[in-house]
Formats: sequence, structure tokens, C-alpha cells
Amino acid sequence: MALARSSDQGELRAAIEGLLRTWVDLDRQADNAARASREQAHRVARQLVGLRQPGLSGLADEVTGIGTLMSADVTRKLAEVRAPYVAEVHQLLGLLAPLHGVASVPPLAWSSAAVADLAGAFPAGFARDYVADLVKSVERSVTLELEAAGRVVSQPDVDGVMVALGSGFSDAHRAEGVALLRDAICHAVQRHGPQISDDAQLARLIWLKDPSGQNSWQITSNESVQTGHRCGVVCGGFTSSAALAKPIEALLEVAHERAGDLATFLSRNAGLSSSIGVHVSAQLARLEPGDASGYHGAGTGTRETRRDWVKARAFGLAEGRATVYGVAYDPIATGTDPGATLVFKKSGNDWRMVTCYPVGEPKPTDARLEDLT
Amino acid sequence: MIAMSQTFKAFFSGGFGQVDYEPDLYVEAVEEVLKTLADDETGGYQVLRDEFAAHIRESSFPPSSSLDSQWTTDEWLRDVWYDAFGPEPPPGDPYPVPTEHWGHLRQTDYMIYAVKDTPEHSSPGAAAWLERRGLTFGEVRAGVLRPAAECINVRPAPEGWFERLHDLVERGLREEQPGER
Repeated sequence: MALARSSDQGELRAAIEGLLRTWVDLDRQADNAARASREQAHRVARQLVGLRQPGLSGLADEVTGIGTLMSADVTRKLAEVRAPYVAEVHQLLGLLAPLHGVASVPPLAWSSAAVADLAGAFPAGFARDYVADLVKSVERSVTLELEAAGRVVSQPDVDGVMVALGSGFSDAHRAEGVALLRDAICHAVQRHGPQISDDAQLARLIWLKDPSGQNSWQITSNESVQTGHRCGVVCGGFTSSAALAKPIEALLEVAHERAGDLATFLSRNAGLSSSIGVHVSAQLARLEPGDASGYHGAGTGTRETRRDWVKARAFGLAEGRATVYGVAYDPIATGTDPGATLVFKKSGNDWRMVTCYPVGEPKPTDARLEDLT
Repeated sequence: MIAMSQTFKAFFSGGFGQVDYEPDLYVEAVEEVLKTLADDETGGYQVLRDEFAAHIRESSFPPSSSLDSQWTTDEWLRDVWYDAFGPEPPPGDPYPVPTEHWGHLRQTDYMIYAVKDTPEHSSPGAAAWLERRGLTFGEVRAGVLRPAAECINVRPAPEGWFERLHDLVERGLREEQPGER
């Protein structure tokens, strides 16, 4: 590929992922074709055997044999078709490797295109892991075309959600919980509220379109996207006002019980820091599967692949075409240590909540609610 | 330094650790550093900064997941340090990043999320951030879009890296992580 050497990280990642996705598609079609020819032969053979005519049983075996040969032929052809894909992706991975702290990618083995699984065609280590991570999520991942993202309606009016929020809290914590969420510094409802549709979440992740409409977003005359919004490699939120209230209610309950009030509780635990991120486990928050939904970037298993993904997204924004994919997930149902992250910032002697979002697992530095004193 | 102190965790979790989930909070945390250092009459922030340096020096900030290594985690922490405090490496860093790499051959999350082609499209704090680091909008954008083959974002782990980790474990300065033997 002539452009490869001059490609930036994002363009490389988009090219690698595009090739692998085409390849998976091709594989599936060839597989179907091979299976169809085998099944067809079996069907004919069964009919021949069913005739119970003397001399025909040998023919039935022969027909089955032809079917098997045909599928073997498709598989062999596939290996031939694969070879240039493998070579291409291998070359591009070689260019990406230094950005992953990997000095070089070992050469391809001569028979590598003939192995059964796609990742196995690549040398062990960085290249194989990279392909495996991408291929793993191909089947489950989706993207959104720019045109569809353009049609997603932003909802600047979150008042309805704000009103409904109250019902999720106990009488003891309702006023305080709603006040935290209504604070101008807080964007929990605007970015993680139940009013945000799946498409709006996806438009946020893939096209950086602010679901609340506060940040600017437009398609320019040369088909690129200008945005004032930021989003990481994950987006999503709570599926109901009651679910959003749950982790906040749990934190307020503990804060009041242990320290009398929220500010004292957070000041005591944050020590010298003027901000703190708290992990409230699903168990403590009573969050259940179905309470949260969202998308995480496809093929983002390491810090470096997350950077690849973010830069491929930026490349897509500049080009006006979808280059990255997201996998729909319910962090509460699928996470290894699920819950919600609540971030607070100190202002003066007061603490204000900045955000509250569901997660599959806490980050290493998050404070766990049960450990706070 | 073996375990992260509770106050360091709080300091990191509220902003520096948020880039994958809430990049806005990361950008804010980076831009607030100057003011926080200036207002730091009690020296509390300096204590947090010293602990941050110790975790880089002693590889005692654990990887986020089993797929990340201690080396790539440390390389990321050097990026966060640069974003927060500038090109002066953390005190005692055994593998300091050459100053001239920053913004040219090596990109940080702040450069990617907060610095765009023009000041109008960038974060309000970007101009000041760049000026303090001797960089321009154009240089950083050219760096972000530089051909991958020329970038040195994450260096390969140096010779003797595992021996160093084992030694730090033996001296009680860090906990061993999976996959280091």
C-alpha cells in the first residue's frame, strides 16, 4: 500500500480494521458456500440411497465425495485469497508497532494464510493479539453513518428528566440528590441520562455529537465534522431516572451515616486532593442488569489500542466517514466488578458532583464507597 | 513507596485517571494544575506531586488491566506528568523522555483532546498550556498527524527492564504484577 508509510496512526488503524472486516465477511461467505455445496451433495446422496436400487449405493458415496472435494476447494481458494490480505495487514501492523512500544513485528510464516483462524495467521505477540482483539468484536459491533448521526436530535431540554429524578430517591436524600444533579457543574443527566436514545449514544461515541446539544456540532461544506464535544472510548448511561438515582442515594446514605454530611465525608476521604472519583458497587447501589446501557469502542483492550481507536475516530471526523465501531453493552450485566463512578470536586468548603456514570469495573485509583470512612 | 495513598488515589481518580471515560475532566484537571500549585500554601499539592513521581520512579502504579503492562503504564504516566507539569521529567525517573520528543514525536492525551488547529476550536486553556511548553498549535497538530512510522509515543521496554522490576519488588517498593516472571 503506497499510502501506508505516510499514514498517521488513525488512518493506519482505520485501514487495518477495514481490511480485517472485509476479510471476516469474505470468510463467512466462503464458509456458507462450502457448507452449501456439502449439504447439497448430502441431500442428493440421501435421495439416491433412498431409492434402494442395486448399484446406487456406490454412486451415493461418490456424490458425497464430490461435495467434500468442492468444499475443500473453496477452503483452498480462500487461503489463496487470504494471502494478500494477511500480507497487507501484516505490513500495516509493522508500521503501527512502534506506537505500541514494540520495536518490530516478526515476518509471516510461509503457510500462515492457510491456518483456520484469522489471528493465527499472524506471528505470535503484538500482531496476533492485535488482530484477535479486533476480530473478537467484529460480529457484535456497529457503527453509524454520518447522515444518520446528522438526523439524531439533540435534547437541550432535560427538565422532564430532572423532575422524574426525584422519585428515585428516598425522602431523606431527595432534595440533596436532585440538587447535586441540577448543579450547573454536573453533566450526569446531560450525558448519562435515560432520555438519551441508543442512536444518540452512538452519535456521541462515533461522531462526537453532544446529546444535550450544548456543544457545537456541524458537518462542514467539505463533508468533515466540526465538533466542540469530547467523548472517550466509552459512552452510555442509565436506562431510567430511578437507576441514575440509585448510586447517588447509596453514597448519600453512607456519607450521612458515617460523617453527618456529604462535604465532611468527602473532605475527610479526599485528604489533600480537591477532587475524588468514587466507585459505588452495583451491590451497594442495588443496580441490576438492565439499569444501564451504552457502547464501548471495538478493539480497545489496551491503552495503546484505545489511542489507535481515538485517532481513527478523529481521522473519520476529518474525512466524513465512519471509521470506528462500538459494541453495545450493559456494564452492570457484563462487568467484572460493576457499579457507578461518581466524581466530586471541591469548591471552597463545599463539594459538587460533576458526573455519575455506570461502569463495568472501577479504575485502579477510584475510591470504593465501602472503604471510605 | 508500595501502595498508593488514599489521598493520591483521590487526586488521580477525579481527573487524571478519567481520560477514557470523561476526557473533559482530564483536560480540566491538567489546566487547573498551575493555579493549584500557585495556591498551594500548605504544600499539600506538592506532597501529591512527589508521590506521583515516586510511583513513576518505582513502577508502583499498577496497570489498569491484565492486557496492559507495567512498562506501558509507566509510559502513560510520563505523558500525564508532562501534561500536568511540563517537560521537566519526574524527579529520579530512570527513563526520562527526551525533551525534544514532546509534541513532535510523542503525543499526549491533552494534545489529542484539547489542542486543535486553531485557538478557537481548542480548549480555552490550550494557548497558555502550549506557551509554557514552548510549543505552537501548528507544531502539536503536525505531531498528532505525523506518519506513525516516525512517532515514538511508547518506547520499547529497555534492556534489563524485568530485572529492574524484580529488584524493586525485592526491595519492597512495588508489588509484583501478573506476567512479570
